[in-house]
Amino acid sequence: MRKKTVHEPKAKVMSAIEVWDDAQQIATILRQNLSRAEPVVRLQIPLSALLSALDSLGRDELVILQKRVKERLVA
Amino acid sequence: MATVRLRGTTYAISNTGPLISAFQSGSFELLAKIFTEIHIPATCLVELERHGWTEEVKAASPRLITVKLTPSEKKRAVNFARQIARHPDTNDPIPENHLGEAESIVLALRPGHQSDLLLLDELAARAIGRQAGVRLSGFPGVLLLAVQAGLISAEELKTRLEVCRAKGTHYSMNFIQQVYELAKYGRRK
Repeated sequence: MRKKTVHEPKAKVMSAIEVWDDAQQIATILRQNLSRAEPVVRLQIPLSALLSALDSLGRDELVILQKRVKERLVA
Repeated sequence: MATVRLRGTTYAISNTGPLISAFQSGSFELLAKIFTEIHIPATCLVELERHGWTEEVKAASPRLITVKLTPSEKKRAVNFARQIARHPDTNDPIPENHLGEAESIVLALRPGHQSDLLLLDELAARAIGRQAGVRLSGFPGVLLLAVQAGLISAEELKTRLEVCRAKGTHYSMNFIQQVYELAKYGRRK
């Protein structure tokens, strides 16, 4: 197997305090983005209802769904 | 095929270093829990392959997307690479060696990524990215967020950073201990 190496091993990296700020930055972005999401409700529905709901999806949504299903199948 | 994006999702744009750290420490799945997709510029893909991470890139491919820059974006990246090479925090004055970071910054500046985050560890490139208005985090910041979100423990964070260090990534023991303490006890006033 080919040896794995790192990129720019001598480069200076951030300080621990910057790591703290980084984590807060990510949390802020995730929160902001989530607030733009459509409201979510949790539903218990029969599988057949889910399958028939697929008929109402457009091509873009089906592409997203296909990608997620593929990921789950290889996991 | 055009990328379809769901509302409310967050993407990360990554430079080579943070992704190598994620692969080294088995943390790519964690990244994929936090970010819907991770985008890298083509130069970073070349760097990852040159460093022997081709298999990991393939395995991550449903969530790791390589993006080609336009000719004008490439020009802009060359300009950023020069700025990084001149920055006092770099010890590599050759602009070509900073093209990965520079292309990541350019990618993060695309209008479609305004609400996303750039993953970048290198100090000089972070300074240039911030100057350009990019919101960013290093790989350790993602691990710290994961601790704060209850996805991993502070001890797991420490182990992952130590694994990166053992495999050659530039995190000092002192730095790892400090980040671990932040994860364990929070920031002391």
